[in-house]
Amino acid sequence: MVNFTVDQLRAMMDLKHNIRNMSVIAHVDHGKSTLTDSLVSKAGIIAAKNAGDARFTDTRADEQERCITIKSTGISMFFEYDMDAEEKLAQAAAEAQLTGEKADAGASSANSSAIATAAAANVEINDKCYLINLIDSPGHVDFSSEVTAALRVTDGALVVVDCIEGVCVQTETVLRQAISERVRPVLMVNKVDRALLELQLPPEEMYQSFSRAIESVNVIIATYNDALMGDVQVYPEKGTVAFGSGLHQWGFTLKKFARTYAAKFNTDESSFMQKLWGDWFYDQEAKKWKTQSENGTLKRAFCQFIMDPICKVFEAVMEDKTAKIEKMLKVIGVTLKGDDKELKGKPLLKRIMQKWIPAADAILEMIVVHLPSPVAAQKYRVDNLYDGPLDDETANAIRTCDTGPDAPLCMYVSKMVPTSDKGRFYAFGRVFAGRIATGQKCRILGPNYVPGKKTDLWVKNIQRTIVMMGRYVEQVQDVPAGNTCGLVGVDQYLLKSGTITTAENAHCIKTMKFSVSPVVRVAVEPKNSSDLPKLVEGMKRLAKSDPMVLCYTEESGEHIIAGAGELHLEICLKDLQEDFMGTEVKISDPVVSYRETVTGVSSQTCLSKSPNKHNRLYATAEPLADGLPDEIEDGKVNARDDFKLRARYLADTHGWDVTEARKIWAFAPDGTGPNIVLDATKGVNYLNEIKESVVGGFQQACGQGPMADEQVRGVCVKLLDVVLHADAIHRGMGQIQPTARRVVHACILTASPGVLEPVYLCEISCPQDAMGGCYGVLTRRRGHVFSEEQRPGTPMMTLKAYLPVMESFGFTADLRAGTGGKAFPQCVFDHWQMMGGDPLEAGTKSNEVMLGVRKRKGLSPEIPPLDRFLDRL
Amino acid sequence: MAVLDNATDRSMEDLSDQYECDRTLDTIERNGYCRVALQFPDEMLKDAPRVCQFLMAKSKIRQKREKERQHDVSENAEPLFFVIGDTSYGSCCVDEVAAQHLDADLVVHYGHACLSPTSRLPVLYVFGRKPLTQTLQAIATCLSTTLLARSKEKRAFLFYELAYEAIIPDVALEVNGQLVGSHVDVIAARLPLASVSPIMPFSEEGQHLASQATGCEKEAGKVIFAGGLELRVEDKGEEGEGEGGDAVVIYFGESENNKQLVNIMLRFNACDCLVYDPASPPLPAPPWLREVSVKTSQALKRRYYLVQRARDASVFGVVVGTLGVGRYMSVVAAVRRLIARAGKKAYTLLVGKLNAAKLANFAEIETFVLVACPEASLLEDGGRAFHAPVVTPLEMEMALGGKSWDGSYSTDFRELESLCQTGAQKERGLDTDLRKNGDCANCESDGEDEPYFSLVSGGYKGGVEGKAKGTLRLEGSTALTKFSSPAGDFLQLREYRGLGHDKHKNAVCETDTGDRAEDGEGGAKPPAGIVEGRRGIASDYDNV
Repeated sequence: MVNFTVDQLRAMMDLKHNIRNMSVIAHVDHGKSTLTDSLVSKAGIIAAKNAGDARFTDTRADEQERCITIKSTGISMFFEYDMDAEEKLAQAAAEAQLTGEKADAGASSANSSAIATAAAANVEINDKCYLINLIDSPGHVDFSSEVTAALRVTDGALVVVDCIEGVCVQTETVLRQAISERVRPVLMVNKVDRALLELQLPPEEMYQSFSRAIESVNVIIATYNDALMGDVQVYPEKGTVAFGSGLHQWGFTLKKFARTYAAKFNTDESSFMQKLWGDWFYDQEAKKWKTQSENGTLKRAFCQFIMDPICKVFEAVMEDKTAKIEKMLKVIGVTLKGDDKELKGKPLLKRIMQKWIPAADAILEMIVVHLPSPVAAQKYRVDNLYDGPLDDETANAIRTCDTGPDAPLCMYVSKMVPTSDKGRFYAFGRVFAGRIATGQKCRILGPNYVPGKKTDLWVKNIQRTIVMMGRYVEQVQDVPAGNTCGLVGVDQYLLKSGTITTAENAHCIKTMKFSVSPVVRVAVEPKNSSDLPKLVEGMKRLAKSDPMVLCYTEESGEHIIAGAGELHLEICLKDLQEDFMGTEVKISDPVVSYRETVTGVSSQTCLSKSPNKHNRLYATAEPLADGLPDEIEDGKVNARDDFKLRARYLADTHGWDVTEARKIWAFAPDGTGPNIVLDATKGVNYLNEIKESVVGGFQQACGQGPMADEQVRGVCVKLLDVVLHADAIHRGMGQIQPTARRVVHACILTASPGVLEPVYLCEISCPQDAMGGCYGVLTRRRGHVFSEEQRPGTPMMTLKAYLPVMESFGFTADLRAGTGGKAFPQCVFDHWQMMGGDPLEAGTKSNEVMLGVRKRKGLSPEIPPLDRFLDRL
Repeated sequence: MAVLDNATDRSMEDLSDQYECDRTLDTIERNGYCRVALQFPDEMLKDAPRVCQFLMAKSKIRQKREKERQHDVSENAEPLFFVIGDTSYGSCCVDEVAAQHLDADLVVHYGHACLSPTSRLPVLYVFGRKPLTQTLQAIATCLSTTLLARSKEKRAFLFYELAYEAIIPDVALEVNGQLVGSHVDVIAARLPLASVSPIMPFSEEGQHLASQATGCEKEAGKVIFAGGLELRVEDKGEEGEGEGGDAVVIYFGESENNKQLVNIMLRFNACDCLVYDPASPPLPAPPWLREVSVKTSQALKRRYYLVQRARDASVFGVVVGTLGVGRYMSVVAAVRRLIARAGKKAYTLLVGKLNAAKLANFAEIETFVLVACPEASLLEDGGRAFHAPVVTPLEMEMALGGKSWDGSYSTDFRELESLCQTGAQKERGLDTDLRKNGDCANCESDGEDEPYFSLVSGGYKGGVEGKAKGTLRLEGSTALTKFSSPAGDFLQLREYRGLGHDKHKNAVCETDTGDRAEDGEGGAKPPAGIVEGRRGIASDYDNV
């Protein structure tokens, strides 16, 4: 059974140098949950026999059924690991490199005091004990937000790559996210058993495919490298890469073999380890190391010393050569007991390999030695995390991972985990500074909290603090900095995420940025209109349970649920109906949100008169330069920028006129969106008086475009001239705002309007013979392939295509049917694309789309004509 | 309204018939009214002089005849007739204020009406009549076959455009005759207190007064008001008061741009609603009647969205959209009380006829509550032209949590009892309330200031400052008190805060390098002196 007690776990939490917070990330089906099992079984939570099949961290029934992880799951585990001198040195050096300080001797002293306290409480822990707070994350692109939430609260990541499929699109996405969150990666090359058993690759080819995978990972890491973290690329010879099989629960780092051979060769471990990777060849006769294979006569050291023995074991077991097996077992020092002797074939192989080179040991070694402790990590993570001044009390406490009695508390809640009590949630997160205790009075800061104000702030007591153990939770009295934990009694104040502090002047931890956006939406409706309150409550719970899903009501009154993709939405709707509402709902066909834009400059100067006819606004519209809308959305060009710097940037990069660029009045919608209104008037009296009214009207106009009330994107409106009534009462907001809205709509309609639709980047991996089917399905759905490459060493092809989101519903199923289940797509929102045809001309595709949207929203059936917005002098 | 216009060259008899002059005179005579206001909607105004003259002439003749018969020598003042136009709010309501200016004791209202009870004067409604293109039998057959084809419903509620008022009892009788022995039962709506005309004013004491005045016995069953009409349904003692799924609504009249129909549909939002339009031929094949339920659900969804918006608002504007509909004052008062109780701020506005430009002048108001007659309450296109949502009192009550959204919906003041009661209760229950508040302060109960999930933003709303208390509170360590006002806060956010301030800001901008410190807490410059303003109308001043 579980080989540690809650008391031990709690005592370990104080050993902040011996804590590792890590997440397991990878592409879908590369074996994260399976691999996690090996650690779970080592911790005694599940039996070794089941490890690899149980997928303990897939806690939901549908996760088990579908064999896919949906929610990230946290689990805290306790291990003992004896670092040898070299490892200690390596780790100290790594920490020193990161922080630019001398390896701190404080570590051991801090630990020893904690150990002393624990000893006093009769709990057995020591310096060799490690607490690993692991989060298993989903790999499907639709659930990327879960990965983001997991990465935020961890310092290290175990990146799992399938050695056959190599680095896939989602590997890249999660790795990029990890690095931008300053999470240090280590690599596991997984599914080596498949290479051996299915593909029967010879050792040298295997080496090549491993090295390709590692190289691709390193390329990604190098692309997004963050200087503050130092070199985070992974190297097998440094022990940051492991190889193995999650399914069979075996794995190794080069160290494991170096240790065995070093004794034989009479050299030290580390120098032997260097030789086990890369172009090193051992000439057995000459007893010399060479850097060339001498025309293929020599075997690469990696193959000779590692892969060959493994291959031999595989061969012997699979061919059932009992005598040979026994001989080998003796050599590798594995003894089979009892029932194990009866095993044959794969089960026997699993048993032997599990005993010989257990995966958990290899992973544990990487985690303990190469992933940073919270103390090390928070030093460089603080400026990425904390939104306030980096020298205030809270920032300093985070930087040093201060657990002292006076340290201010700072905890980030990254996600909500449903409890067995319907409608209530554990707030799961990480304590970055101080300690959080049951009954403690805390300041709960929501995402909209502004320091010094009282919005989105609650001062409440923490009801309970708990430790997440996968399928169950354990209650603890308090949790010190550096640990992940769950809170009870916070969920009613935070919707999805938030910060919990004690210091009055503390700022928030930065909100998470997701790599996917909720572009697929459905409208839901209760079957019975009196169930509406139930639906609203259900939507609230759904919004809580998922870091990204959006639940809201549109202007038309439709209740919208928006997710990243079809699968995401499917899961959300299932949860909504089964868990959060208890009744079924009517679900509309998926709807896509469009954007209205312009493709040219307004054909005329548009004039709109105010309702009292005493004020006139003249304006034109034109498209924003390519890429500028994206930059605005990414915050590169920002409403809060200094207007002079912004003008300079726009002039340099996008060829704007500087004086014009300085007169940007606003971005819209919501004051931040990808549309600009600027003042191009000359010498108008009272202009600043109506600025707010014009901006207000512009915001409205961009929030709901003229054609179908969809948002406007990429439009620049220039206010050319304004004629105002001399009397202030006749040019008030009531006169100007509706006029501004009308003139903007008129401008858009005269500037050859267009419709933008969202487009997925779709990566399909399939065997070569299924390519035809893929192309067929894609063409039928208006997709186009722009890249096609073969995975070296495999018959697998990777297709990259753009696919309109509108056409993506049922795409996965269609593709499976079209290729006999061989092709598997991953779709992620990529960009907005202009739809063909003039939306104002009847019969075109974009016109059809706009009319469809109008109908759904219950608007008048035709696009309003220009003269509704335009006036004549 | 198309009924009553037509050419002016119609004979006096036609006109008299159209405008029901005889019935009008009978009523006046019977009740001895002597000052009568005739309210014509704009499109009928051209007939007004002739109708007025005709009525005057006729009444003179009648009186003479009467006198002769009774040999009465007393100087019986003959009735005086005035022509008045529409109210500023809409032609469906009775302009009591204008009528009172003329000291009238009866208003005759011509054309379509919302039939909202008045608060002061008796009213005689003249709806006019629309011709039928088909025989009663044909209509009845069409309706009854449609109903028989539907197996779901047990009852059918028959509502109608007021211009068909006269023939509806016959239609109902005929249909019911054809449906004898079937599963459906047709119940026709009727004019409120239709037994007598004119309709008596509707006072605070409400129905009691009205029913006493008319001597009308309270019938068994429940009264539902919708589209100005009333429907008496037998109280079956079951939940749903007859508006549930076992009924179908049939509307007899035009279906396009008809606010009365919208009101009826919203009131019976759980029922299917079929429209029989006598002016246009019925659909060639079954089901013959047009179904308009899709529109209902869309309208209802839009209303629900507005309720959600209202929920998020912290500053309300109570817009008085009627000066005639009975009990409007108490509704305004109740609405204000409700808002105050929710810890939010309310301003009461009277802007005459509502339009987007007028309301946009109040930028700080986040939601408007429109207190008006049912037909004026529901703005065109769901009020999309307005910068802030415009909701009805009932919706506001739902938004502030006084009532949950259970599918029932009404715009009629007579059905807002709970709203008014809450208001009244509030006053009576002030003590208990205070005590409760005290308790909360002591026990630091959670839940009190818990945020709620806002469907508009998809996030949590509320919090410590989410509720603007508008009271004095302690500010930090300096034991000073400060008044918090949401509108004041809003003004602080604005760049342009009025002329005096503006001038000052301009000066700073011009110098640019000017004293920033002054700019910071600026605006304290004294306002400009008072000078004589302009004269004339806005488009053309006399002394520019």
